[in-house]
Amino acid sequence: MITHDPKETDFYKARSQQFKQQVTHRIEGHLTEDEFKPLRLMNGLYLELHAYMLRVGIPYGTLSSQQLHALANVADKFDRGYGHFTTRQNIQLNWLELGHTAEILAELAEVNLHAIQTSGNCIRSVTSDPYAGAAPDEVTDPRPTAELIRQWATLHPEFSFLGRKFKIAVTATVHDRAAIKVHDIGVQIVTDEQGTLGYKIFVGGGLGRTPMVGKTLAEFVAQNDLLAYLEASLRIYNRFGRRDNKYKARIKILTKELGIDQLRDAIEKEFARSRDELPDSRDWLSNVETLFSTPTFEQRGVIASWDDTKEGQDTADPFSRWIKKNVLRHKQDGYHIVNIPLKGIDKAPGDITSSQMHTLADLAEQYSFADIRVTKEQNLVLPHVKTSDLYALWKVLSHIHLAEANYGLITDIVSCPGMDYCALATARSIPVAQRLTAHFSAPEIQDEIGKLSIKISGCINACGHHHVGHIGILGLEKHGKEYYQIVLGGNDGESTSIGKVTGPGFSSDEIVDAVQTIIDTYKILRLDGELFSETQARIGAKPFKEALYDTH
Amino acid sequence: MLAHIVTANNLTTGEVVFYATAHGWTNRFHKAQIFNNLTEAEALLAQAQIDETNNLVVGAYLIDVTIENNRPVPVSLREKLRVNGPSIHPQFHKQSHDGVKAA
Repeated sequence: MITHDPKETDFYKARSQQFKQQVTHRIEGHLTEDEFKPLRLMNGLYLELHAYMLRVGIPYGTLSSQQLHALANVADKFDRGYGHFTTRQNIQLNWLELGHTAEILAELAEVNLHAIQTSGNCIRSVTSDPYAGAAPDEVTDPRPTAELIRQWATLHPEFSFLGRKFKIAVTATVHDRAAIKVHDIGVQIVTDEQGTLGYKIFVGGGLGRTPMVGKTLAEFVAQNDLLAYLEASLRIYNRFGRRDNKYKARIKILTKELGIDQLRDAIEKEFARSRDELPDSRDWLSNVETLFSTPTFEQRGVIASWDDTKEGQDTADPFSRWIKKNVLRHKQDGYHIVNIPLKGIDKAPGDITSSQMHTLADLAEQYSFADIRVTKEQNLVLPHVKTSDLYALWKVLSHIHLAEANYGLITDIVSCPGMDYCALATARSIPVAQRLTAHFSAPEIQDEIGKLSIKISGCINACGHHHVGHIGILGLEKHGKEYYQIVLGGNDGESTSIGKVTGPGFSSDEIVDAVQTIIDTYKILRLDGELFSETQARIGAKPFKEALYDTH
Repeated sequence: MLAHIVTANNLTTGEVVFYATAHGWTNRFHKAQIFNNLTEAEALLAQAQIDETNNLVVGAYLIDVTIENNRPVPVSLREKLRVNGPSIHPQFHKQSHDGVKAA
């Protein structure tokens, strides 16, 4: 858990008061929409199809029980009793009135939540591994580094008006759960040959209309130098990145146009020139680390081990199945990482009711040190659950319909809001997710298919991360009708790859059958024990295309 | 034949609204004024856009509709969704007002 400095809370409160004045000026006509729009976007407020939408930031996907209760209260009081978790670990409230937004931000400020860095051309809210502090494979907890970057980036005067948004992700594992190679900058915490912690930096990744995999910018940046190195990178981007075309204003385009070597040279020169202008990052990080408290884990022997829990489970039994599918190994023996997919059959991916939020916040308080995580797959996680608490936890989760045992399976679908809510969308995405989920809902079918990610975007901006889904689906509009392109070959793990379009798109009526065809092809061609992504990497897209279009 | 309606979002509530001439803006789609003539519709849009500067609405524009059973039906799916509410979350549908079927 992180302890916030009271000055920080005061700042968020003052910020909400400032926004209240801006809203008043707008409603009274002292600000035009053109003048007000950048101000509301700096506070995460969008005007979507049906109402105002507020995107509340959840830096590095870490929420406390108190914060989740506060979000539920706001959803009840000002919205329609639910929220939508996004692929950037944030939450969106879809049905707000302008006049309420400052009051909402004031309520959230009380628990150190805000909407800064959730929109606009600034360094956006930093994302990270949702299993941080619990993952057995991490070299260290990445959250202090993510928080360090957040503190440096928030309201950074030089980088508050960039050419475009700038996204940074941090992980501390080789097995990448933060998709760092599809961020403007990805930071991987590593150790050198002497075991000293430092950072491997990737640059120029991104999705959207020009998807690219990030390239290695630096193999090892010392902890003392992290912020100076990031500052040099942002400065070079800000100075040389294009501003003539918003779609070409991301650092991925600069990386491509300059080439990674020339970009690196420019950044290294700026870094050498300016590295002493910032405080030592290691010292700053030490201060940040004091804000994070480590849970006091009970020692092994008191509670059952991982193996006692995981072995010999009967997947026909709902509790056993849930253990087998959703519960992962923790770095502390006797504790577990519990995944809570927000992917119930017929539900909108990422949606959660305020009532579920309250109960989940209570469960986290009782069973997981009041710690809740948000994943880029639009799921929640209780990161530190004792073996002996698993059954009691599952019982309550079942009662509130959050015990769907489909973590990482074909029904654990990622989907942007799509045209049902989003003003930018060209097609609906959530109804496609719902139909696919219903189609593949039988547990035995999901088990037979195994690990597989479907990611759906309702437009080319790719908020549903379709480029890096094992099966990506992109919704477009043609002659007034929705149609859906299929993208294969994507992956957002350590072997990140951008999927390629298989061919002509499918109508809304055809898309479920098309995905079934892909699954049928996989089942015929897979080797024993081979995952979908592995089969796809081995045989390429051709057999899938033949199956899709021979019968199409 | 296409007809036209002026739409926008209410500044304070964000709600989808339609221009109903003398009655100003309404959230009831079937009360919107319908123009068969594009020139007349554009003239009304210019009138309606004054309400943007008067801070009543945001982003006024024209939508195309067809007339079916004497009622306007938006041509584009996007506008059907704006009229009806999201096609998911049935509790938020607005069909009770106007009965325009989503695609």
